Amino acid sequence: MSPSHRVTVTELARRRAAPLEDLAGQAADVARACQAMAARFQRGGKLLAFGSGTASTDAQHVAVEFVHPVIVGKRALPAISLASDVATLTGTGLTDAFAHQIRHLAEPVDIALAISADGRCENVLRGLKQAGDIGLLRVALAGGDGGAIAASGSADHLLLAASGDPRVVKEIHVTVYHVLWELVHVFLERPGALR
Amino acid sequence: MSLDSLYPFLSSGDSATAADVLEEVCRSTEAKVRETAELRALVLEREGRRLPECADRMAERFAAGGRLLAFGNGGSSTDAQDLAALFLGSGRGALCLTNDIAAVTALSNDVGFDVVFSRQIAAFGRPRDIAVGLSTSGNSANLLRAFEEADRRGMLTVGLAGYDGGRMAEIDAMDYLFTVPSPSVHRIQEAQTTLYHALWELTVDRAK
Repeated sequence: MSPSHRVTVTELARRRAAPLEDLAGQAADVARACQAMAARFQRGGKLLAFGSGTASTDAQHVAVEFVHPVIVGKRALPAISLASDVATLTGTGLTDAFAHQIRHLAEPVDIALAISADGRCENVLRGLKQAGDIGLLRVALAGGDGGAIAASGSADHLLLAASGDPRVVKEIHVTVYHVLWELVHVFLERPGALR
Repeated sequence: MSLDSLYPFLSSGDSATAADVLEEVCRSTEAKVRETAELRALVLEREGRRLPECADRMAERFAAGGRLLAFGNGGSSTDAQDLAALFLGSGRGALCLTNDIAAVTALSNDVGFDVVFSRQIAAFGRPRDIAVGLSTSGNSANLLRAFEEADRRGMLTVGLAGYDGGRMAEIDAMDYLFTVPSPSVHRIQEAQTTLYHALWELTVDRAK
């Protein structure tokens, strides 16, 4: 270890342990979110994922998980990242970019998946509110205390990463959406569980 | 592990109730979270010496005016975007080679997908720059060609791969390869996120 480093790898590992333990404690909430999402897909819904900054890369990541499954034999499910349309993002302005796309692309049967490390992204909050007006299922991944997204109650399923470090929050989110993707298929393979 | 042992109700006829499936999914979630926690702790412990060493090399390059070029396919392309944005956000020059759809589709259509990163490195790469490529298999042809081009130019080459590193573990062009020993693409990606976050934090932690 070089003496020039103030942060140690041991400290980096320690920072990640408790939030992962906390996530294991939210397994029942994750399972309920999977069930609700599967019911929407079964009825022909699609997933619209959105987030700003780092979370914009997560929106793209989760969309490609559904569209192009890494596990052979899993069916492709419709999912779109609202963070990928650069012309719209830069054209409409960032504050209303997600709400605007949801207004014109979403149907009531769809799923809105909002991602925000601290729950304080105004454009993500506006997207969730628009999704609620149309009747979408709203799933939100946030961190810390969930900020305005948690306070507004604008998500049907809110999963919080118990960390104030945005990098750790992102790492928890990656695990959460991988699990959401995989376990949605368990419900789809057992339609009796969706009735 | 067989599908039946993970989800016993799959082969139990259509009698599974919502409560049965919810309980199984809940247990499966707990198992996956514990697996990713153990894997992340393992890779950080295993790379406790090489991560700071690689971060030192990266910090030297940034201090000399070098830039970071990040690349990957699919989910790894989103990690490459995140990594580049992290460094750019902390005042270091960084660029993700999947950002420019015009360049990506032009190269893929006119030449082939295998050169989509190496041609951009040939256009942008300078000897003091850093190439970071992420792959779960370690076998992506466009990454291997990118690392070879970067190495030819004198760039620092850093790879993240899964399993035993695949072909990325076999090429001489690689200065630092970090591998994640797991049979699951998802768990590999999750631990890779931790690895590149660690690299970023250890690099920017140093004085510029």
